[in-house]
Amino acid sequence: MESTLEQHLDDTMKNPAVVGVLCTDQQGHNLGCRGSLSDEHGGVVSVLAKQAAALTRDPTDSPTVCLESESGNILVRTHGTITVAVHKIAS
Amino acid sequence: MVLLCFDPDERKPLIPHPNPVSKPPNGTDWLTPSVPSARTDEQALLTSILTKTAQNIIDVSAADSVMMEQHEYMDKARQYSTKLAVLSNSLPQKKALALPSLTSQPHQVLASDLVPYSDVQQVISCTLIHERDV
Repeated sequence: MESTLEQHLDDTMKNPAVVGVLCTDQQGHNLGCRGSLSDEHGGVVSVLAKQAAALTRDPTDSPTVCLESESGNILVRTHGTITVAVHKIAS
Repeated sequence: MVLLCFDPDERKPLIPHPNPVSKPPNGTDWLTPSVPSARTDEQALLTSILTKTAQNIIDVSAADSVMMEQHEYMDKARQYSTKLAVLSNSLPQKKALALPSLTSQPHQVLASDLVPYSDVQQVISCTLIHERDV
């Protein structure tokens, strides 16, 4: 199971625009990460997703949080019990 | 009925007769046994209240003996703040954690194009794949 996740994280990193990827659980525990997103970002990422979900009225609609910056975007998305953050540089 | 004592010459019975009809002239006496019992109940209640109160009281009279002098208090305060200062200096100053690549020029970011929907779709599919893995 874990190796599959690790494999998929590696696959995500193969995209040249992606410089970091992180997978965390609801408590912010890091399940796996690559590149610019590291262990310590798990908490921030999971809280961002949770707070964004609290803003939406529709409980079935999970929002995608996008942090924009001049050098790239960090997209955060929750599905089920996990939250994934992808750091993409501007292309 | 030999104990009946209407005759003043007779001696007062040791045990008062329970029948009120045969109550002797000084018959109030036979009611007295209930009075001490009521008094005992009251006494017991009072004692229990006193005991409870005594248990609930915190005696602070002894605290006076450990009262600190003004200069002693100042010394201790100084000692504590010195120790705190030493401790806070020795503790690693952990900086607030920031996500990487945050901008110092937000206007540029706001003026730029919208996030490509393909990127959003990418992160959605990524999340779905990773969720299945866990």
